[in-house]
Amino acid sequence: MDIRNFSIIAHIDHGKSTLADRLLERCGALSSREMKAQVLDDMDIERERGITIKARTARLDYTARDGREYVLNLIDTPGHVDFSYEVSRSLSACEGALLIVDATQGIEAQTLANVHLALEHDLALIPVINKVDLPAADVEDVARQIQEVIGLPKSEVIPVSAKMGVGIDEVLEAIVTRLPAPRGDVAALPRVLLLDSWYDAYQGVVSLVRVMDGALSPGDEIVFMSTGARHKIDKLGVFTPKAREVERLQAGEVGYFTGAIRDVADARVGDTITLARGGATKPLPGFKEAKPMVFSGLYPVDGDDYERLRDALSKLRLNDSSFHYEPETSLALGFGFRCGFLGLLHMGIIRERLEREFDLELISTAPSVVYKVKLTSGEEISVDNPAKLPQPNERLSVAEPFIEATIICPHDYIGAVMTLCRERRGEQKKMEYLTPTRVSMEFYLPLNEVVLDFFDKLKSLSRGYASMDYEFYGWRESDLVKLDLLVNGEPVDTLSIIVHRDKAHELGKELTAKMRELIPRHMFDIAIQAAIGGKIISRANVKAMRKNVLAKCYGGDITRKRKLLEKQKEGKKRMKSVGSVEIPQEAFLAMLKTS
Amino acid sequence: MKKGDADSFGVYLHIPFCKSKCLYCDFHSLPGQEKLIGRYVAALAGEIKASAELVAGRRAASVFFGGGTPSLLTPAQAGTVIDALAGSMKLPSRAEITIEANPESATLARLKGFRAAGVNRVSLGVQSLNNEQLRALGRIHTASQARGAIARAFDAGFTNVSGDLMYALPGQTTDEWMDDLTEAASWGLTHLSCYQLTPEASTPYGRAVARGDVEQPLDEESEFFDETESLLRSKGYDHYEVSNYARRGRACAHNVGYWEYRDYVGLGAGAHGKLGTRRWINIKSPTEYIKRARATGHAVWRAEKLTPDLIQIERLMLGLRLRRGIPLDGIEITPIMRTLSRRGLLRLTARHIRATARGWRVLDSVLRALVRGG
Repeated sequence: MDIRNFSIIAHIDHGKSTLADRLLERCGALSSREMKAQVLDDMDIERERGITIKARTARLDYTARDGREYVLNLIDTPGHVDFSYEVSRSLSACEGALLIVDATQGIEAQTLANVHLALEHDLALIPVINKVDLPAADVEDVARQIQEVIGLPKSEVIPVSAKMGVGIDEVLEAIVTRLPAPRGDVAALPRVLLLDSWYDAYQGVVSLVRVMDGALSPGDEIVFMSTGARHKIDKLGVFTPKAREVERLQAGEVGYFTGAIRDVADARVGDTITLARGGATKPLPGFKEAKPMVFSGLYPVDGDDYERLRDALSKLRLNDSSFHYEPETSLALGFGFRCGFLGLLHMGIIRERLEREFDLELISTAPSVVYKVKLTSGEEISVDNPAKLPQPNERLSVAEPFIEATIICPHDYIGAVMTLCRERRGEQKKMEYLTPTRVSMEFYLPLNEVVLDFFDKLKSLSRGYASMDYEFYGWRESDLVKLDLLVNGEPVDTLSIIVHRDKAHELGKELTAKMRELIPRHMFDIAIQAAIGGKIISRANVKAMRKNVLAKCYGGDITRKRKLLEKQKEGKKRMKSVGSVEIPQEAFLAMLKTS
Repeated sequence: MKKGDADSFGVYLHIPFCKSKCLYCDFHSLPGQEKLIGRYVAALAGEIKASAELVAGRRAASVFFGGGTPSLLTPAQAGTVIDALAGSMKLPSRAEITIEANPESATLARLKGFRAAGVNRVSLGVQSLNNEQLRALGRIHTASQARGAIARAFDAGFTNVSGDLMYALPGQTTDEWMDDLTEAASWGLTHLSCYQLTPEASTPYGRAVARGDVEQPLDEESEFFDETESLLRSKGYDHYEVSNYARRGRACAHNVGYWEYRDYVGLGAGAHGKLGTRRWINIKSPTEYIKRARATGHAVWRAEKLTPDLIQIERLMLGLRLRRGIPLDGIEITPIMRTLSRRGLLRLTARHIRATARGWRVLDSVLRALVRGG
C-alpha cells in the first residue's frame, strides 16, 4: 500500500478548508449529494468562523497518472495560534504539507509560524497559491515572496483556485510525487501517536491516531504512556471522512480506535500509545500537557442556572481536555467557575458554545493570565485570579508570562505597530523586510497586555493588514500591582485586575470613568473608586437621580403600567447587586474596552 | 371624599373621537369618525342601562367624560348620557361630573349647554401658551383661543374649571414655562394639571425623539417639576398628586378615586373599568363597540382577575402618587419598605404609607424597588 500523509497549512481565510473539500471531491470520498461546503469543519462554530477547532482526518483513494493507487491521508489541523501545540502534533503525523498562500494577500504571520513548525518536523512542503481566479491576484509577486522568504523555488509553486476547481489535479500529483512515503517499522513494537480525541455518546472516547511503528488490532490491550491508562481496543477504523471499520492499522496509517474509554483526560493529544504488556518503552518525542494560559470567571446571569452551567462545562470538557474549570464564588456575581483556556480564541469558542449549544446566558470577567508569585514564606504559588493576589507584604515578587510575537504588515504601519507594542510594554527582538513593502517584526510582549484588546487594536491601526502569531516565551518578574474597584466603598472582587505599576493610575482613572457611564443613576449617590492596596487613586460619582416619575397614571393606564413594573421584577435577574447598587452586565466587561 | 362614600364608584365615559390627533397622544382616539357620534351615544346609553346591575345599590360619586375630545358631543348628546346614568344608577346631585374640552370646540353656547345638561366641572386642554409649541405638538388651537375658552367656561357659569398644561417641551426653557404657568395661575382656575411631556414610543412624537430629531430638555426635568410646585403653592394651589394641583376641596374626585383604588365603571369603546377584583377593557373600535353594545348591552374585549399580589402592587403604584399617601389597610410592610423609609424616600407608620418629597420625585424607582424587593 502506497501511503502519503499530509496536512494543509495556511493563514486563516487563505482557503484551506475549500481546498480540502476539492481534494475529497476529486477522490470521490463523498458523493456530490454528501458534499457540503467545508466538510471537515462539522461544528457550526467552525464553519461560521472559518476555523478548524478539532483535528480531523480523511483517507482518500487516489489513482495517479502513472496508474498506481495511493492512499492519501489528509490530516486537517486546527488553524489558530491558540492550538499551536495541537498543530505541532498533527504535523508530526505527516511527512509533508501543502502550504497555501492567498494570491491576493501574500505571506501572513500564521503562514510563517506554520512553515516554521513544519520545518521543525522535517516536512516536505508543496507551495500552493490559491485564489488565482480573483482579479486582485498577484501570483508572480506571491511566488517571489515564497521563494525569498520561505526559500521554496518559484518553479515548485502550483497555482490553484480551490473555489473554481483549478489546479486540483496538479496538487494531487505533487502529493504523490513530491512527498515521501511514511517511514516506520511494521515489525517493531507499536508506537502510536494520539492526534486528538473526543467523546461519543455511543462509543465512548474516540482516539484519532497515526501509527508510527508496529500495528494495532481489535482486542489489543493498550496503554496511554503519559497517563498510564490501560484500555482494550474495541474497534479500529479510518475516516473517509465517514467512519469505516478496519481490522488492522499499521505503521504509516492514520485512523481511529475506540475501547470503552470514558474520560478524554485519559487520551491526551500528543501522547504515545503502545501495548500494555510487552509494549514499546520509549514514547514518541514531543508530548506536552496542554496548559491553560488565559483564565476568566464565568457566571450565569441567572443564579438558578448554576447547575446547568456545571453540567454544560463537564460536557464540553468531555471533548476538550485542554480546557479547565473549577468552582469559584464571587461576592458580586455569586456562584460560578474559574475557567482556563489555551488562549483568547479558545475562550471565545467555549463561551459561545455554552451560550449557543446549552442556551446559557453568561457574564464573563476580564481575562487574566497566570502569575507566578514568590511569597515571603519562600513558597511559590500560581495566581490565575487577580482577586487572589497576595498582599504586597506577603509576597517577594510576581512574574508574568511573556510571549514572542511575530507581526507581519505593510511597511507603512511599522510606526503604528511599534508604538502599540511599546505602549504594551513590548520589547522589540528583530525586524526584517520580507519584500520591499512588507515587514516582519518580532517582539517580546507580556501576555496580560495582549489578552485584552491587542488584536483589535492591531487590526484597526493597520486597517486589517497586520497579522500576528505568537508563542509562549517565558516568565519575567515585573513591578505588578493589584488594582481594585470599589462601589460605595465595597470592593467588587470580579473587577480587580493586575497591572504594571506605571499604568495603574491611568487605568484606574479610565475604569472609574467607564463605570460612571455604565452604572445607571440610582435613588442615592454612588461613589466609584479605584484603589491600589488601600490607597484610592481615582474616584467618580454617579449622582442620584432627581426625578423619575410617570406624568400620568389614570384608570386606563393601570394595567399597562403595572405590567411594566412586573417586567422590571424579571429584569432584576439580569443585574448584579453590590451592596444596594445594581451593576449592569456590561460593566463587568468594561476592562475589555478601555484604551 | 367623605367616609360614607367608601362604597361609591366612579363612572368613566370614553369618547374616542377627535378632529385631529395630537402628535404626542397615545390615548385611544380616532379622528375622522365624528359621523358615528350619534349612534355611539345611543349605544353608550344602552351600555349604561345594562351595566346598572353591576353597581346595584351603590352610589356614583363622579362621572368623567374623557377622550378623545368629549366636547365634540353636543349638549343634547351629553344630556342623553347623563340622563341614562341618572335613570339607571344612583347619581346624587352633588356628584362631580367632568367633561374634557378642547379650546377650539368650547363655544359659549356649547359650554352653557353642557352645564344645563348636568356637567359641573370642565377640564380644558390648554397645553401651552406658545403658538409655535402648540403647532409642533399638533394642537389645532392657538393660545388666545385657549384663553378665550377659559373665560367662556366661567361665563357659562362653571365654578369648577381645570386647565391642562405641559412642560419640558422641545426647546422650552424653565423661564418660558414659568411665564406660561404664571399666566395660567392668574386665571382663577380651581385646578391645574401640569404634565411633563412624555414621548410614547407608539406616537409620531415618540418616534421623532427616538430618532433624535427632537430633544426634550430632560436634564432640567426636576427643575421644571420643583419650580412648578413652588410657584403654584405660592398661588394657593395644593400639590395633591404628582401632576395635579387644586384649590382647597377642589381636587378631582374622579381621579382621586383611581389613586385611592376605588371602583370605577368604564363605558364606551376602549374604556377601562374595575369592580372589586375584576378589571376589564372594552372593544376599541367604535363601530364594533356600537354593534356589540346595541346587541347585548356590553362590549367587553378582555378582562382579568386581580390576585392579592397584583392588588397590592396596584394600590402602591397608584396610592403613592397622592402626596398624602394611603392607609396601609392590609398592605404588608416589607423589609424593602423599611429600607426605603430609612433612606428617606418613604414615610411609613403602622397604618399609613406615603412618599417623601424626594421619594415622590423618583416614584418609579421607588416602585421598582418595591416590586423587586431590593
